[in-house]
Amino acid sequence: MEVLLGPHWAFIAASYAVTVAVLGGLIVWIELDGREQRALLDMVDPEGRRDNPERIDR
Amino acid sequence: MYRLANPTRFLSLSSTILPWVQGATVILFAVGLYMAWFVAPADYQQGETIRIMYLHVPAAWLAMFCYSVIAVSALGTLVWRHPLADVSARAAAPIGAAFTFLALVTGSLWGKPMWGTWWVWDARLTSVLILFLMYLGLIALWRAFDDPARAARPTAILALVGFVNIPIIKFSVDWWNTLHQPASVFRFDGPTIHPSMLWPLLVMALAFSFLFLALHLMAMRNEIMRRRVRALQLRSAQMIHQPAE
Repeated sequence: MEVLLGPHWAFIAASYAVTVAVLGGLIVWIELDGREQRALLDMVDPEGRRDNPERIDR
Repeated sequence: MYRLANPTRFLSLSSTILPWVQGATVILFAVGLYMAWFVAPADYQQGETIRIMYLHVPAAWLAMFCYSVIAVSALGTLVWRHPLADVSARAAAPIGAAFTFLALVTGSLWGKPMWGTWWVWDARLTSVLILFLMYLGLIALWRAFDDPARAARPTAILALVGFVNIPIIKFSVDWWNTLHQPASVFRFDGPTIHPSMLWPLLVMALAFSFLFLALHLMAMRNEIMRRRVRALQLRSAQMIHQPAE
């Protein structure tokens, strides 16, 4: 790694690792939140989408 | 624009454009990372640590842009009472906090080998830290209210007050003597970065922007659904507790 990226390779690797972790975590969190809200909406309003297909689209 | 004020229309439109935005984000990241690693040269002074710039600078730009979106949304809440304005602001806050956190951490990881320190209390770094705390404050204020409609106005006012920090961040390197370098891309006399580094940086910035757009749309859809769930639950609770006539 040091041959490729020089003496400060650990700082470069850490920057990319932190970015992947934070942005990946954010994407997963938003996606899981969306699934949870859709499931809740199906539970409290099971006929909502049948009455009006535009109401909650998927 | 006003037609989009209808949350149902927004849900319908966003579901159409979201896959395209997500696809464009993946392509832009693939191209941007390829350019940042295999096209852009190492810096003659900083060597390979310049690769951190392709994450740090877009994250910092998006941190400020995201807060600007919140400020415009706050205006929409206070002035035009746009139904989606508060939804937009609330959805953008955690995304902005994440980008600001990334700007701080990658800046610190870049600063240690180049400046010899993880952190200095100079105007640029401190004002970005304040931006991060502003994001946390906004998120905390939203969460302090059970009813999102009651939270909208105080958070919009706080967001607008906090917007004063954005020009301070931008011009801090010109107004004060900072360890952080002055602007080298958005300058009146043009960028001072060599095109071989500028283009990968701009593509990465575009990738970060599309990621923000995709995540913002997804988070707005979640927020609209969350409010519908709450409204429906309240309506059912009222029907249960209504005395029989």
